[in-house]
Amino acid sequence: MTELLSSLTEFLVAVRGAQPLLLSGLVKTAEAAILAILLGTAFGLIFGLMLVYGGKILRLAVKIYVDVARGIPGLVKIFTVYYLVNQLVIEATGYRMSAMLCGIIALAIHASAQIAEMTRGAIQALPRGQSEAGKAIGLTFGQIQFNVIFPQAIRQILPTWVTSAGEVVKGTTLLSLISVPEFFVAIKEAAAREYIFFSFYLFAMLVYFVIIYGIELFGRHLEARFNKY
Amino acid sequence: MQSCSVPRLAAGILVAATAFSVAGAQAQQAESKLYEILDRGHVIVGTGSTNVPWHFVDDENELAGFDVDMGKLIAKALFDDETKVEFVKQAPDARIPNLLTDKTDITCQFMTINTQRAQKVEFTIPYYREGVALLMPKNGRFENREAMDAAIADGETVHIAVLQNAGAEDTVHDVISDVQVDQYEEQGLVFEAVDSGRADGGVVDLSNVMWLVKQHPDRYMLGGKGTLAQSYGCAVKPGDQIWLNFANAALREAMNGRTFPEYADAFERWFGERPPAPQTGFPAELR
Repeated sequence: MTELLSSLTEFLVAVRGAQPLLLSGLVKTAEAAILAILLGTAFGLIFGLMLVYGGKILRLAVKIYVDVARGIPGLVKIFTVYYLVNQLVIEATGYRMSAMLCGIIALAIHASAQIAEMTRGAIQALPRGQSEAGKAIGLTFGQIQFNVIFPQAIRQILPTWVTSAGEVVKGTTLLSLISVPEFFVAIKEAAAREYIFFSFYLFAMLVYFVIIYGIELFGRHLEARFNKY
Repeated sequence: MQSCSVPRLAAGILVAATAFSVAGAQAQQAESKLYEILDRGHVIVGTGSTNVPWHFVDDENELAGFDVDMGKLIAKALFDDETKVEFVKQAPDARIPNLLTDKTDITCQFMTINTQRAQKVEFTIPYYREGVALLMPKNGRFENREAMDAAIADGETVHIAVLQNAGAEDTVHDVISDVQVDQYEEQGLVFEAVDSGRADGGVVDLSNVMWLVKQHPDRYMLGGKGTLAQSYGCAVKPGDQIWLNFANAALREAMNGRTFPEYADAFERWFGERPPAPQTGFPAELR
């Protein structure tokens, strides 16, 4: 018992010492996750709409993008963007993307493919009569989307969107492999410095759980709001 | 018929010669990363951040360690300012790809010089010679190395953790044979395996073991040293002799020349002893 207490104290002292390190890692993780979720959601919605309403060629192009993006493991996507796409961009424009940007793009590609499929599914799940009724009373395409389809579709999308957002947060840990100093890198650095591994990894588990559970709670809150419709 | 006066001809030749030499100098400058770095104003050094005492984040949350000091030493050689350096923290397996895709100018990350790697990158002269040793936990399955050897002789399976690396099995067998070798992705995971009892010992760099046993005598002990030595060098992208020569000059002078005190200070700071000072007179490296 005393041994446990002393090692706990030792760990807490170590966490305190590593506070700036861990905080800056947490900020980087948050930055990457938030930007990837926002970008992924925006593009996912657009691609989803294209899948439903686009012409044959557009639909096919988006379908290929979605299938390819969903069929490649996250880490492979990250490496592809960091090493291959980055190199092509440098050769074409001379602009060098930062590791962080590459990571955000890779995570956003993953999220956008998931969200595109969700959006397509949610819209197509609605009875055709909904948009036809909108047309019948003289609403424009935009009005039908925003006032009729979306409020209903969003209820379908939200639960899976929350899962996707959680996946993006989990995916940020892979960014350590392309030198982004995110939270898990900070954990590894702190653990290596103090030679306290197990406790620091346990701590990381706790922090990630709190973040992802927080997103889930936020999703539930939104769901409750949209269920009023 | 108009004839060219001598002074005009001379001026013409001078202009042409100047133009030629300027173009020549530009062409030469465009060919090496050295000039790119000097123009940029800082050098980009690839290193890790999770291995004490080589490269780690210290109590002030700054990158520190012997590799980091080598990076600073190269920055000082370039700009006479050791702060003109940007460190890219990378995993060990990103060392070569990041060099080849120009994400780093040079990598100093306890990189063992071997001929397989030398086919992909070019190594500088070595800046440290490392060996390996067996790290054993104080409250582990075996009281000491003798007990471990006895168990192996009895046919028991002994797990030894090691960092996934080129020739990792041979590395372990240099210290201890007839054991189950478990390779781990990160040095940290090797210590974790030892701490948690998943491995009965870990074969890591001698410098690491010495540092750990000194820091935590209650937790660890030395389980024997290996016999093989390996050289650590910095590495650069192949095909740039000018930049490689510069890096070599910087390191060589730090070990054998005027900048020796900087190198020696770093050495003493991380390995606890001062290396032998260079002798004047006949150059030691030609002995």
